[in-house]
Amino acid sequence: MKSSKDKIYFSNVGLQPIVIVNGLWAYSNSYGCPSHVYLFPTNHTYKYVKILENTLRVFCPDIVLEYNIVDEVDILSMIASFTSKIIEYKNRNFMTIVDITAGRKTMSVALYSAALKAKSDIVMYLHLKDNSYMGIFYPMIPKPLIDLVILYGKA
Amino acid sequence: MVRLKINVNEIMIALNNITDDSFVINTPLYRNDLYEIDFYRNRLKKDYMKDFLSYLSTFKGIYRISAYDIEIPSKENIRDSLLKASALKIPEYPEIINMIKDLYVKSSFDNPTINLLAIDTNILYNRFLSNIENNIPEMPPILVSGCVVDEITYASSHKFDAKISSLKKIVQTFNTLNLFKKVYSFNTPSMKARRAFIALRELEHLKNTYRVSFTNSSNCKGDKSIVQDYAKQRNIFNNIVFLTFDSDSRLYAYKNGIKSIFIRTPNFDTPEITYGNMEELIYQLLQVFMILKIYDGNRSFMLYAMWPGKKIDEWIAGKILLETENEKIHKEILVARKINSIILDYQ
Repeated sequence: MKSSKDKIYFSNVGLQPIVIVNGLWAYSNSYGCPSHVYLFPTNHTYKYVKILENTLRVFCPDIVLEYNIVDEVDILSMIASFTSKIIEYKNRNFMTIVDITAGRKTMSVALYSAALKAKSDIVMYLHLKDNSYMGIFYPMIPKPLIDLVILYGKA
Repeated sequence: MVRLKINVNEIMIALNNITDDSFVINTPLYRNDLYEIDFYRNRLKKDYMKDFLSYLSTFKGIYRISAYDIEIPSKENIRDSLLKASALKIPEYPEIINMIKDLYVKSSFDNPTINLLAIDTNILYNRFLSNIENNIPEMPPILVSGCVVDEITYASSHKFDAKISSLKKIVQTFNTLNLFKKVYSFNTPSMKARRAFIALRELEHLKNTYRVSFTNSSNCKGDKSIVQDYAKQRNIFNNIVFLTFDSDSRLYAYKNGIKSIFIRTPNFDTPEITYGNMEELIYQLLQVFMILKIYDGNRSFMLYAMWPGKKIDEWIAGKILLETENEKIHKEILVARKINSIILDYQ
């Protein structure tokens, strides 16, 4: 998979780590791997960070992974930390990709809001049209049942 | 060219990579298309199977081939493949599902009842319980007679015999003897054995997923011995319900005082194909046709049911051989395996 040095991919971490794997797989399959991945787990999902690092590196071997634990019920504080992180990387000349698929709805709302506020380059989510494929790895889901939706920006 | 042994649930990776709109299932040994599937609308687009089978039956007439030569595709073995893949409607399906659902009773100190679902051999051959499991919230405990296991393991040792089967004559007329030699040798399990491996794969799935008990009967003779074995078990278990596709066994169970649930075998028909049964349908057809080509325009992959040195464990695990020029398929299968193993290790 093609690697690009100046892209960072932001995602929340919910109870299903495969959602993040699928999002990054779908994105990198079309547009190449980002060089950095920044995760926002909660106290409950922090335990998935290591496994995510191992799985994401199977198909994007060179990614640098960072994370910051957030409080999943405090929307305003989440918006503040997401926004400052996205702006920090924009100032360092990164192209910013925000995936709002994973995590609780409160987390998705906060990340979407922060992405617009920080003028992120791309906001995306992975649309799964059949819940019976939840928890299945992207290439094993019939492709008409899964879409990478770009909500904002141009990939 | 890449060759890789794959599992049934990895077929979707290959389908995703070659299909734009629809794909065709083709039998290279007989140089015929069988079905065209509309991948985006999740349904069958064209059914070539009926025409193919009537075309094939003209050869059966010319060569005076016996109806017992099950190595040659027929309406019966295609119907069985469709049934195993859950692509045929079973008559009275909702009633049968409700009867099986009702068997599950939460056992407690006050209510120590346990209903056992005693299965006939044909339940395993037809993958009936796998095909209904999504509609059964709690599967009742399953009882498997030693006679059932005996019958299947005996059948699984049966080898293809070119002296008995007229298959070679037929493929010669299609000029595909080279392909035939790739999958048929003295060591190739016969159609009878391949069906038995399908049943053993089902038994493994049931053992790994549900509460399954076995009786220790062996050296059984005939279908009646299965019912007789379950009748004996009533001394240990009070409530045994016998599940079968065989009307004679059902009558025999009645005569022996065992309650039964009878499933009528559907007729050969146009299959109902969905994402949920696509991979299994391809796998089941492969057991009949031995080689399949799946294509959409110029993009394709081949599947082989047999290869030199294929082990019994690989038959039972449902392994097949994929051959493709598309390296992306190969890469994605390896990545999927690695990711699934990391996630499984973690769990």
